[in-house]
Amino acid sequence: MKGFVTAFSLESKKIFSSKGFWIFIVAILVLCLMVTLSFKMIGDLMEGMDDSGLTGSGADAGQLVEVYRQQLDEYLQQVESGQIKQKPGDTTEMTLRNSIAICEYCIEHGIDVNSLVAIGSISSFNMTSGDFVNMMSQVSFTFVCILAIVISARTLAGEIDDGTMRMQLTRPIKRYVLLLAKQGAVFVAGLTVAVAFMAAFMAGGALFFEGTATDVVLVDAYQNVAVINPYAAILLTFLFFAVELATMIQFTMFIGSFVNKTGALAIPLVTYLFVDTIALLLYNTGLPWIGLFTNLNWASGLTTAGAPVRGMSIYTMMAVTAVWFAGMTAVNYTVFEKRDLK
Amino acid sequence: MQEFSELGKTTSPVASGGDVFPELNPAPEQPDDEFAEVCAEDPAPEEEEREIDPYLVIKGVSKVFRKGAARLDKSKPGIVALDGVSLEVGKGEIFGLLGPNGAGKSTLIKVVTGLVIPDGGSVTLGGLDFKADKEAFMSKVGAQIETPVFFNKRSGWWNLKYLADLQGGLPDQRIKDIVEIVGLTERINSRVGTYSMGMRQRLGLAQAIMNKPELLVLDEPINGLDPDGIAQVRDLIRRLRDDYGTTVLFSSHILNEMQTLCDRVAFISKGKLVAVKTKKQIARGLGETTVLTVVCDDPKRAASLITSAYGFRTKVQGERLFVEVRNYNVAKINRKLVENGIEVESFTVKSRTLEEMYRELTR
Repeated sequence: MKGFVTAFSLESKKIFSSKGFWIFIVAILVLCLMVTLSFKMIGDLMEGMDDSGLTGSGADAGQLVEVYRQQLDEYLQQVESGQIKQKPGDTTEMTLRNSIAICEYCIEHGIDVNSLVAIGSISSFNMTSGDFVNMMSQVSFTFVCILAIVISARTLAGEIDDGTMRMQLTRPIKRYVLLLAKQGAVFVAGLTVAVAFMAAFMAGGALFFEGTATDVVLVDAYQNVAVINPYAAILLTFLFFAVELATMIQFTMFIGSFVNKTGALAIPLVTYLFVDTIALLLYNTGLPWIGLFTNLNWASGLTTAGAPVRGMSIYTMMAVTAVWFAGMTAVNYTVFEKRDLK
Repeated sequence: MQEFSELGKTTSPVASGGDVFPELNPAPEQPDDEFAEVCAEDPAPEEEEREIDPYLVIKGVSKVFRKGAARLDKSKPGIVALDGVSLEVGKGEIFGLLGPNGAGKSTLIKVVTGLVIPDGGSVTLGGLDFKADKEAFMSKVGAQIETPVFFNKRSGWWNLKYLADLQGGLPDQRIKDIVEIVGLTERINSRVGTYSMGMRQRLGLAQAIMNKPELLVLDEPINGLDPDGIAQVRDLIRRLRDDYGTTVLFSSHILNEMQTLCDRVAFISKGKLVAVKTKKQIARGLGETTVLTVVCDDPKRAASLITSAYGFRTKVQGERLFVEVRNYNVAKINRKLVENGIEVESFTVKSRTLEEMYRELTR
């Protein structure tokens, strides 16, 4: 325990005292600032235009639910007659069913359907402060994950390749404790940065954007609907991000168990950045559900389109991610424990 | 070159006979004649046969390096780095590992320091098993493995502090003293990336000894060091052993260094322990075979005379006669030649070198 605390604080110090780390953070901030400015400019250009709401049409829930029901009937008939073959990535049916459920929920609770947004979306280019924080969190979290991949690759595969790991392993500390400390330090550093970003964005949102935040609607694959406060939605996004961060750290070190430091950096980065392309390739293989990355974006399981793979829900996504996480953890610790450092 | 001139001064406490851990042991002042003592030709004869008190015990350690998926299958062939090596190193002993490149010296040292996981066998230090309790084991060990690698973008001081903290922390003053001992005080705040190889070796030595280890493991510690540096390391190793009873396991290619420094030397070849010889045995082994070069008027007759009288191998080359003498007083050979009327112009005696012994043993 004492060994872990020492190693953890040393690793954290190492991360926070590295120049590259701060350069990366400044780069993320600049990027977020540019995204904000472009949205502000588009918002100013579109002043007075109605692009708001979940549907963008301005129609009320009663009208919409009829349209969706009709579309769903037509779609199901086409599927039945064999005109449409449902591919693993085809989420039309889920989108329609969920939309109907949301409209029904709105009718029942007397909510204007156009006042809601899906998680991870913004209601309009005329952003409210809540929208701003929501969107900035999405953008910055992605980059914090990339930062975590870079640090993880450097911390494990990098230090083994350089030879600096040799010095650390000749200290009286167990190997798994050292690895745990390294992973924990990257994880905590990532979370700290994310929290700092969110605080900055909340301040920025309050300063530069007006209006109240838009409520967020959540819907799962079984058409259970919930409407939550936008800040609760941001917190939920943050929790999902924490899972993604931990998984990406484990994934990077997993790759690093088998390849050198260049591969340990390149493979996770490319996979993470091109996750959608890879997912598209996977959708038609028939086995997309086993993929780690197709199932890591848990928030998508709470939108109308549902999980990226037809027939799956956020719960199955969580289960697949958990299996991946456990498997990678087992491999990482076994390989590191048995590894010969030449 | 700043560091070079600095070395020339040999102001380090080691060179000037100071204490390695002054704050721990304030009144050491050992005489500075260990070198003469160690090199003394005839120590008490019983010393050689004395039973060593085993401290570091290596039992039947084997290691086969396999690539890729073959790692999972122990029956697959691979590169045999160690093949059942068993060694016992006594407390306070300076023990050398000698062998050609790829013989398994480094692998053995890495097994002892836990960097390489052996396929079989055990390593214990004063009864502590490595596998059972790495933390307790490694807290007694200081190690420098090959050319040490540090975080190049950080200063030498940062690196030492980092490694010291990783083993539970040391007072700054202690680290400062160690830095002075290895002669790096002036450059300790520069980035390690700017260090020369010799300076890295010194920093590596600093991190190995800063925790006052009971077992000091040094893999090629004098590679890249200048003559002053080598002398300092030699003195440091002796001083650690004499003042603190540190056991030293040490590998080198530099044979002379081995001969002057080590109490015992293990010869390793192709992953196997070939022989373990004490300093005395080595000295005697070297004395055993002598090459005699005789220049005389009739080398052929002299050769046949020597062969018939003693059975030594001889070789005639022009005026010269070479004789391989084993355990025999060469003066008697000279007398024999002169008594038989051979005019001896010159008579040169050359002992077998450690290098020749090393080649024979590790062939």
